[in-house]
Amino acid sequence: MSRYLKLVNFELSRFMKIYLVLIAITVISQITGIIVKSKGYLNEVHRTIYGDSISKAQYIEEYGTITFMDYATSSLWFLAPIALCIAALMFYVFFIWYRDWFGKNTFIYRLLLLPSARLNVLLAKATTILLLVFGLVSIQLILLPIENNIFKWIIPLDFRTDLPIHEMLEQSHELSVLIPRSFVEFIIHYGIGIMAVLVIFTAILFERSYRLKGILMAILFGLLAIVIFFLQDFVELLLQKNYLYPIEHLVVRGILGTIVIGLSIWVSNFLLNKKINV
Amino acid sequence: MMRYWRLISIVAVIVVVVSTFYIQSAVATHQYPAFALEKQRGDEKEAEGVTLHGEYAKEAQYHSLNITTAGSKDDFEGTYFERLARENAPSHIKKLRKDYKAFMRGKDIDMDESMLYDDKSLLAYVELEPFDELDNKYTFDIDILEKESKNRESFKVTQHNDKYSYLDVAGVFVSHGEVIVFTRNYARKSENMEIHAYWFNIADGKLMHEEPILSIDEEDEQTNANINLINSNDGKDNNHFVLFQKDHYVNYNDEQMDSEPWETELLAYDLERKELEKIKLPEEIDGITNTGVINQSKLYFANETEHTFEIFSYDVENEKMKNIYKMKISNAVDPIEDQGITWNIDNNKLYMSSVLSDNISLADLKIVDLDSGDTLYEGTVEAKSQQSLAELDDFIVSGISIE
Repeated sequence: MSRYLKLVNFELSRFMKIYLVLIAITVISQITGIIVKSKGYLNEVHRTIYGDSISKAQYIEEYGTITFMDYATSSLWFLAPIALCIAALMFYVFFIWYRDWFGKNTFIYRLLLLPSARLNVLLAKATTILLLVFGLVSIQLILLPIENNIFKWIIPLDFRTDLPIHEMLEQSHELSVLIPRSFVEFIIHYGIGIMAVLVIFTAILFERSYRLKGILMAILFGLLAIVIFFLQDFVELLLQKNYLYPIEHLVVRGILGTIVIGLSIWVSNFLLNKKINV
Repeated sequence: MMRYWRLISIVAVIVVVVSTFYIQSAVATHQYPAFALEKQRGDEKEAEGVTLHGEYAKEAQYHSLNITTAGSKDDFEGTYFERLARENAPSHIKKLRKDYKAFMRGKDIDMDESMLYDDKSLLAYVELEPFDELDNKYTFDIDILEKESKNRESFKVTQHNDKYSYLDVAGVFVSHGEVIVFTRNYARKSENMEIHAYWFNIADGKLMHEEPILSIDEEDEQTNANINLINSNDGKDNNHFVLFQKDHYVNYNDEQMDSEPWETELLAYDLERKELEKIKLPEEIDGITNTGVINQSKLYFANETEHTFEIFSYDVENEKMKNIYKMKISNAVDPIEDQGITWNIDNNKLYMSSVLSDNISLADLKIVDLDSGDTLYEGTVEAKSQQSLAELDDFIVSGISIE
């Protein structure tokens, strides 16, 4: 256990600099964005009110009020850093392995020769990815109320409609995938995420074990994982009938997902112990 | 321990932030507007089992809402699992799924219930298997459940026909040990559509009789028509006739069709005599569309004008129309423009609801005994808090159902 924790801590520290930069970009971009956008909106309002010589009430009647989410979901200031973080972490899912082979000194030697189960290396890497993702989600959750307050300071009450944070999230498709409205959905979304990461890890290990041939095996393994995970949908599509009730669907999906995760870990363990080429 | 500071701090931030967020939103979901049906006059018992189906807008989002004497239930409320179990199906379908879980499995009727028949003693479901283009055959897949004995009867009947390119089920009825299936048959070589009736004997699973009963011919290019079956299969109709509405439209050009039919025909098909009769509506209620309600072998129509609301009943057998109820629309219960009165009839009782514009209550419900004309119940939809009412931007009553 302590070996595993040490590895996780170690993996985290290796990404920490880039991670902090990502967080800094997100904070700066989103907070600058809310200030720039809100000021811009107010200027627009003033211009319209003075230009068309209408009253504040007339303006609101004609153009309506805005919500924080109107700004957020339509602004690159807000969405671009999120996309950047997602892209960076997706890249790091691969890089977390390949850096050990292609880094300055082939670090994977030392990792695999550690006096602990080799599977710990894989689990530590997966845990690291998961913690990095959750960390960014938490940063966004801390940022949202702060940004909402800045929005409230700048835009006068008459021109805005205030919504609680959780309702704002429900209105945005992009954000409700990252931060679903209920904890159960949170578990489901990120459970699927963990599964995908583990399948990709296994695919990487296939490639590392068998090189060129391994790429084909990796693709086949990926397809197998997809077939298993969507088995019920394939069956229902074939029979053109929805036999399962929604709750049963969820249970079966949970079981299939667990099978994919178990299979990935089992195959990875086998590859790490028996086949991996250093 | 200090060696793990990165790990510990990241985990701590995640746990605190994520759990705070979900605890907060769990607390907040209990803040949906709450309403209940409250009695003003009459007998509270009459309103038990009545559900007003409505929709409201709050903060630019529409929610559907079911209101009873016990309170209201928002479609947005509840945990993930509750929402999942609620699905999109209407409440009577959900009840059937709960009571007859095995029978209802795999029956796709969330959007279209025409394939299902439901009465006090049995459930019947008829599905047309995908049309086999090669052999020109179509197969009826019939599934019947006796509610009491839980006896299940299933059979398939295959028919050959090269006249039609496509068939779909318009309605299913059961009468005297026979399943009667109405289908829309689309002709292969023209734009024609026919309504066919098929009689299947439940005891031996055989097709007894088939006949076309109604058709839309390829009319001249200026007109277009549409046939709908307007009986509702909500488990209480015990009718021996099936009602069809045939709307004729004028085509202004190739693409555009007038949105309002210029002529509407109502036709009743008698399941016992196997005859189609045209219903002649009197002048004063001509032009009403989609307002027929069938209950206990009677047809009801409403006619709403600026100051009055009237209900007519029509007896198919003696072709007589009777004005059975008339109400003045007073200013106090002035229905909001364009919405009018939502109504339903069950067991010779008239249920009426309209949205109120008085800013105190949301809507009203009135129950009238059609035999005596007496008002049995009058109630209003009251918000549990003034805040709930103030938060609403819009409210409509979309239907009334009676258990």
